[in-house]
Amino acid sequence: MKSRFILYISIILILLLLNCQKAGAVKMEFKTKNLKNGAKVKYLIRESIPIAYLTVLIPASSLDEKKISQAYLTAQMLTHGTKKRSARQIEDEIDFLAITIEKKVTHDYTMLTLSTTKRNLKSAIELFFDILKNPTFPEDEFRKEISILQKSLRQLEEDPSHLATKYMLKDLFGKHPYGRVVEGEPDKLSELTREDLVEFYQKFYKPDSMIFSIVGSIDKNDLEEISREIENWEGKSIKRELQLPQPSDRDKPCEIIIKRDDLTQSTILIGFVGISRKDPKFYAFSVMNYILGGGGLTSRLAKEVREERGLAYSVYSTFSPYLFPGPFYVEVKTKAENTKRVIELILEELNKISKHGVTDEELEEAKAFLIGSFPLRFDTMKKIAEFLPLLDFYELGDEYFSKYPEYINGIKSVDILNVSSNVLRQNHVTVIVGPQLK
Amino acid sequence: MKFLSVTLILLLFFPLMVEGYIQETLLNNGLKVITVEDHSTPVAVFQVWYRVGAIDEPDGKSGISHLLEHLMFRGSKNYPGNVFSKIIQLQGGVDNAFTTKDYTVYFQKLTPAKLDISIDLESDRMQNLLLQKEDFELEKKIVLEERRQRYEDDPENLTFEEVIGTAFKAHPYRRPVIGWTEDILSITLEDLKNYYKKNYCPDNAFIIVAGDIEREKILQKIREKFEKIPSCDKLQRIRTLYEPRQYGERRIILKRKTHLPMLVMAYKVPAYPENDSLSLELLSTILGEGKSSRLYRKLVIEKGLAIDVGTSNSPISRDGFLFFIVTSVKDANKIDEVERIIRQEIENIKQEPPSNREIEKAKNQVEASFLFSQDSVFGHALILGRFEIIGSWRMIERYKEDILKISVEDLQRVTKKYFIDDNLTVGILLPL
Repeated sequence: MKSRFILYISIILILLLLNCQKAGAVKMEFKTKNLKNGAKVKYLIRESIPIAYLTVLIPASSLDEKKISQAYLTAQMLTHGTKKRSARQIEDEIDFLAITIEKKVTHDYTMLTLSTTKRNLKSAIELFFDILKNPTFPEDEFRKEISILQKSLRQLEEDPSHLATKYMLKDLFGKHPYGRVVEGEPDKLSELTREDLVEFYQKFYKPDSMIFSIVGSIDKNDLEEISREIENWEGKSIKRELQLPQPSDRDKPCEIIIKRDDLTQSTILIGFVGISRKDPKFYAFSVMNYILGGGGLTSRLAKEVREERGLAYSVYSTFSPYLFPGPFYVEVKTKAENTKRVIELILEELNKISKHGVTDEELEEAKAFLIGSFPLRFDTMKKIAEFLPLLDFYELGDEYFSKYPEYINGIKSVDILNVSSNVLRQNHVTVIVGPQLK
Repeated sequence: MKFLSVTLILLLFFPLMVEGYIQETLLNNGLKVITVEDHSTPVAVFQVWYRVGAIDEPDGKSGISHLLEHLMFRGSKNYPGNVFSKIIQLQGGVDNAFTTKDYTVYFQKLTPAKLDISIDLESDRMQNLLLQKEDFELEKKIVLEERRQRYEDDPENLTFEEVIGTAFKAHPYRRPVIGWTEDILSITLEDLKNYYKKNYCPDNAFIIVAGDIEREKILQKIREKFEKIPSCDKLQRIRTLYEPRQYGERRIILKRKTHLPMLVMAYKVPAYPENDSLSLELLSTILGEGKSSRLYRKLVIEKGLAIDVGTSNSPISRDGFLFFIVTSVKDANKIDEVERIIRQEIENIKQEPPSNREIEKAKNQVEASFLFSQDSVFGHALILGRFEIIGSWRMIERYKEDILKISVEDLQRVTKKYFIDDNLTVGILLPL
């Protein structure tokens, strides 16, 4: 299998590296309980539908890895066997109770979310804490999971967007964990052992640093039972030793071209190092991004590339505000022959916004949208459950829901000019995945 | 006895979606308005459903419903220009639309106080769409880019398009919603104008307003803006759909750049309210939904031949569609073996019905999926709309009652009836 992949690279993917030197406030009446062992529980009771969500945020991610994929696979393997349940028993129970346990590993943290009907709440809680507290990481299951992940990652690399993202991250962040996708790299999986997962789990899955949230149809007894489950779990986590990403020191923009003759479109990514979630300029950056390319069909990029010229179906800008500055990039897909023209149009827009900022009208429109649509971001119990732990993790504060309009309203055009010129003055990387142009 | 008790428990939970807070009103011009009062979050959803999708398209014009959907954002008499989304976003709302084989939906999500804006915009574009030449040419280009992105450059989607196109020879479900490239190119502005005039009228549409709303107030505003729109000229909603009998399986192979080969097995199956569709829905859970399903256990866990396998069935369709079994196979040399195992698993059910525990699991999942869908006002409205498209949103209650009555013998009977070669199309995606 491996040799076939190498063949792909040499025949089909000819990699050319050029010039690369290296409305308002939301009323959210949740409460917080601080438990004796250091864990926090944020909860919101809503009786409208007989369902509930239980989420836990574990401050552990690829930032803490000694080996690539350690964080991702540790989370995946939690449901593959515990001291009293086999992997098959866990799968049977999950399906029979019609519950789900989703595992999300980001560049900053790991999050598990249990979704259950009220009817099965008790059994679901018992199972959830069993997989969280007593996983055994069986060797045979580990082997199977590695084999599946390896294949999935190779398949993902066929996807032009994924491939372009992979190269962009690598260029922007180098060997830092932000420089790779959280799932890891197919070629590195063979270096990982079951013991690496056990070690990662023992180091980072400790209750004192975990933030739980419960939203839905629960009563006092359910809440007490969950608190008991957490509190009778002891353990101290170690302090995370986080490395700041080192910015690239290149003196001009660079272009990475990945040739794929099987495609009809070019997928183009233009990337920069963006901004941290904890940076006070985050809100100005959000407004700038909305105006530039985050605001759907009304953004500058969508207007120039799609709406007025019909050059793409999909064009947008986005950013990942992690603990440290993550990527900020524009992605577009266009018929191969339009590649150059579309890149020029985008660079022109980037240049414009970094030099001249935004108009007062644009600023007011963006504020109206960001404030007005804020409640839509919490329009399901699941979204609330998955957001509550982030209030603590990113130190946004419990008053975030009511303060958000203030944060946005306070932005002035000069703030946007500052933040955009600061980010966009970097020498960007352009990644193009597509057929070779004649 | 165990089965009976579980059924009773389920019945206790199901009537949650009582009719009390869902109501419908029929306006004089035939436009139905369904209101769903749900005050759990300060959010409202406005959806306009047109009973027109790929199934209604004339030959040679596949993709016309979807192209029209794009043009619906390019301005109407009272809101000329490219302003729809901008107006909604200025009010802190989000809007979009989607086209399927059976219908087209336009929607906005916004705070309830802003619903009037949705009503103004949607009523204007239901009757006064501008459809200008320049916009038409631009949207055609955009749709062609969309097709390149979603199909030409996505081998898996392209395989599905081929399988569906092969499974149906005469039935309009053979056509892709986005349309074939040549068809998209051949659509004229005149075609689009006629299509709009014929299909976009009040008695071929319905509205769902859901969320934190005041029913009477919103209805009054809807009446004001929508009731004066004239009904359709001559609505020909029902036409005979047929598919000639198939003799033996059909098989297609696609060779595209992919790492993992994919095997798609698609059986023609009936749609709800035909009762067999419910048995097939439960069968789908038992066969291929979740890691405890029979196919996942066999192919991914025991044999290690696949990295994933799943099944899907679409009983809430305007006509019978396909039951898909989709496998991401690890190795191209093992595709035959994978197909043999899937056929054997199907054969096993023909020989011996699934266990009571399996059917209980499937019913638990149906119950849970209905409950979870109500967590989102938007998702809840979508389910109501899909039932309304096939008859009435009220059919949901009957659907739930009927599905509880399904027995393991029913599952065995439908497996024997539909899982035969004369209903089967196999599609294989192979690496180049």
